[in-house]
Amino acid sequence: MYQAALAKDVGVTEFDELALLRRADPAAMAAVVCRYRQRLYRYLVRLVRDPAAADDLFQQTWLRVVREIRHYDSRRSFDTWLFAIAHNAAMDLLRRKTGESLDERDAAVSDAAPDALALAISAERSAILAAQMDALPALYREALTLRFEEGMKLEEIAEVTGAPLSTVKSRVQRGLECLRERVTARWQKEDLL
Amino acid sequence: MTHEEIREQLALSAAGLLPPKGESNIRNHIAECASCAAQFEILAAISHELTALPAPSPSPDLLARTHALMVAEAAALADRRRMAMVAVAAGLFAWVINLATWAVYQLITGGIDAVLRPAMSGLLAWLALSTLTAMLAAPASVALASRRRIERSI
Repeated sequence: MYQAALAKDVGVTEFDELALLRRADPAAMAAVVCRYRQRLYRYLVRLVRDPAAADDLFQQTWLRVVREIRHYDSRRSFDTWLFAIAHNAAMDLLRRKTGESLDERDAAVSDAAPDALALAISAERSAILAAQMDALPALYREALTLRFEEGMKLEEIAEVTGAPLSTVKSRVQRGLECLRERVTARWQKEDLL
Repeated sequence: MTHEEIREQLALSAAGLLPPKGESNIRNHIAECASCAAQFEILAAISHELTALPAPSPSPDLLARTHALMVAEAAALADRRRMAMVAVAAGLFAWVINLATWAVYQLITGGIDAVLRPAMSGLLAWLALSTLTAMLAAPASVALASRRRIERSI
């Protein structure tokens, strides 16, 4: 069933799917897990930086969905509800983990078709950026991931993280500034700017 | 807006989080300020790269295990809900039996009631009988719930 859902990649409307999920329909569960697999897993890995921990959180998140789906208000976005569950599970884990910082201390780009050199440069820049992203405090990583990879608006990020809008704005701003300070020198050194 | 104020807004502009008015102020400023323009260019490049970072994928095995766990959890939840309903129904049934015993007691133990009345009021006798009924109903509902659970686990 799971393989079948993966193969056909879902064909039900969200309303129908929600009703089926509430009835604990196994096919609907498989379809929803498949639909969100990439986004949810990517978010968790970015947040906890450990694939094994992300695996656990992925399972925990979906188990919470099964338990809480009866209380889900369908006027809310399912995406933000799901990511808020994942956020809470990840934050619990990060608070328990030693050495993880949750603190907040610290447009238009050419879209011409890239040639091989541009792709190589881009890959190298991405690698440097990904490494620096990993070094950011978790709350900055989370805000940047939700904004840039999930394409969420400030209001949606605030709903997922349970933080005020001004705080979310500040996390995105400071996260980007931190990255700029960290990657500029590296990009210049590698002649990638 | 001052140069410093604009500089603080550059990251928000690169993140696409400024309103049109703020965006316009930034554009006007960076057209004239080389240092802000350079900073904005890097921020915009970072923002662009962040949308396309290499993304890890969950393994098919993780998806299959997650799905199996969800199905098992849903079955366990449904089981708990059924158990709660059985318990409520058993409780209600016990109360109905309790209330019924009062009438039955009056019907079938009139003579005994007259004998017992000096020593024990009719209400006390009824309470004693109804407690006995409830004590019988409670283990019966527990036994019923256990049996259903065993049947489902086979």
